[in-house]
Amino acid sequence: MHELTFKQIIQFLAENRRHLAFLSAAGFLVGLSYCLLTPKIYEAFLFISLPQTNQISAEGVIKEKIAVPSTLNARRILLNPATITPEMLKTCGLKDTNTDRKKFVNAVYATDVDGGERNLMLLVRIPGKERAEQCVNGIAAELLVLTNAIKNNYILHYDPKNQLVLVNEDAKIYRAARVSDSYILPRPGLTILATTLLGFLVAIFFGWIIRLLKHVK
Amino acid sequence: MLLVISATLVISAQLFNKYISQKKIAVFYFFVLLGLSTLVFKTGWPVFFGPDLLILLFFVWAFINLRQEISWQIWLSICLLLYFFCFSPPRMDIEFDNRYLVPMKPFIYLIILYLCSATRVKFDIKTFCFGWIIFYPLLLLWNIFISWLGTGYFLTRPSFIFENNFEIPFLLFCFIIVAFIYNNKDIRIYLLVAIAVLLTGSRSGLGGFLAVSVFYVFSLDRKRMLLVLALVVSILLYILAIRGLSAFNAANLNSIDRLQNLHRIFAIYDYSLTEALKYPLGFGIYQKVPPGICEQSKEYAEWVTGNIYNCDPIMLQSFVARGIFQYGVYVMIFIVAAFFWELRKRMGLYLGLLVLMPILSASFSVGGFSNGLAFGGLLLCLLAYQQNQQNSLEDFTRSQAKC
Repeated sequence: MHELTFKQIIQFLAENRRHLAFLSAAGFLVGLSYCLLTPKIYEAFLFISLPQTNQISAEGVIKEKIAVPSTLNARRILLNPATITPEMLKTCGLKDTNTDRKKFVNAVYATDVDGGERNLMLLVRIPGKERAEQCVNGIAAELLVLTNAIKNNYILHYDPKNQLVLVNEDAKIYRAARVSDSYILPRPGLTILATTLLGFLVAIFFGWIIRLLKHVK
Repeated sequence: MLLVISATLVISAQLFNKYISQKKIAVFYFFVLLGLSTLVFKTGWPVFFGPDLLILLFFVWAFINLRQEISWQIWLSICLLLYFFCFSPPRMDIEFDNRYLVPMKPFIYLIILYLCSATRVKFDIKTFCFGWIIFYPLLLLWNIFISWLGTGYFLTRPSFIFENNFEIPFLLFCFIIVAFIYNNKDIRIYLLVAIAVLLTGSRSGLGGFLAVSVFYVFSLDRKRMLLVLALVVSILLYILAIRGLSAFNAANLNSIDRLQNLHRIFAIYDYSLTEALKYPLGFGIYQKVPPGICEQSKEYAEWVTGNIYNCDPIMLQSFVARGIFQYGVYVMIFIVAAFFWELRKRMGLYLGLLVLMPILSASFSVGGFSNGLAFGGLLLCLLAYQQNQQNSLEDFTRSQAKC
């Protein structure tokens, strides 16, 4: 390694200006083509209130309301390729293959809304505006059925006299689906900027290597 | 309080007489600082990007006057900057914009560091550092006074120009320059810095100060070592007297807001480090803190962003918590290691490690590697080291010429 000066940097840029311009322009074109050719990803999301019932202590005392299943367990249904139902896949335009199951998991995001483990935000990012909305609604409908069944089973395992006093609230969508105004991916400005800069950096890198090789000779 | 004020005034006066040669100019600068401090206090001007502006101006000058080796690691920082700016996953469509400039700062600082770490300046850094060490506690006292004028009672943590956790690393860097680079082991300097750290009430600052103190104690002769240890014991007794035994209870660590945030962010990974390692580049700089976690610390969201629903990761405050979420564990470690490598390359292992301490301790609180004032201090250490080396070389050449 040797010392570098500002003058050397300017000289280097001037000497390699053609390569720099060419590779930057190539990067620009790659970015532009990528943005034009890649499918446009839209985002759709809604909020679900999970089924509610009571906890019962070992002594049979009825305690405060809880969500059954909790947001964590509800998320587990959606984020595991093995537990996704074929209906969920179908509603998102996917086939029941292992590849599409993985695609589904990567397209779905579910999280606890308020730290209370009762409300779930469900979000999908897939190509097509209508399909994204249809997908999130379809998944939500399927999730309501599954979570209500879990809650009903939970209540049923208690003594029948306790079952009567337990809260029994079904899951529901409490904020309807919204879809992004425009596609969220690809992001043309950032992508073209990145590929142009990458082209520029690659040109500098190769110019630097060539310079080093000349030095060795 | 009276004891602290008297000690500060006496030590400041003694150090001022001993180490500041151009007294009139120094007093003029002190009054300028007092004026600025009062203006910031009264008007609440936004000053957070002030140090960054100065760093940028310095960088332009240093780049034009560039003459140094540049580490190949600069490419890593450039690529990471490019990745996080252009390829970070998008946030939700209806969410607020993030302050994504702050998360990009560590990479920008690293690039500046690689290009300026051997820069030589003519500016008298030694006197500047003495000046800052002497004047900073006085500025804190002044802030206590003007705050008292406004509210009618004494605040133990005075109002600051920037923020207490931002200001202490810079003070510690000035102390390192004086005590380690220029090798001035006057105990009064240490005492004045200790008073300033206590006045600010910054916990991360105290952590950084204690870490630097370990290096300091071992660099002294036995007599001074005992004196400093006695001083540290008195500081601990002082804390015991004003805060009680609970100040030393390890269980109280849970009540520190920045550590709480660090703990909460691990909920994303189900409190598993292995799970956290599965996100090599984190969640990117645009992604919001998940709503469930944001909800638990909504007061910080409101405090930092002005809106309880704006879950901008900046609400996590601690650089480490934010970094793990935004950059991922690997990049977080890279940032710390990259700073250390460059410091070690320029100043050696001992000074490199020492200079890393203030910024590292601040990174568990607000600031750290994404704070202009902390990075400015680190850069000042490098400049002071280069200047000192240059001066030593010139002195040596002169003495050789005489011989």
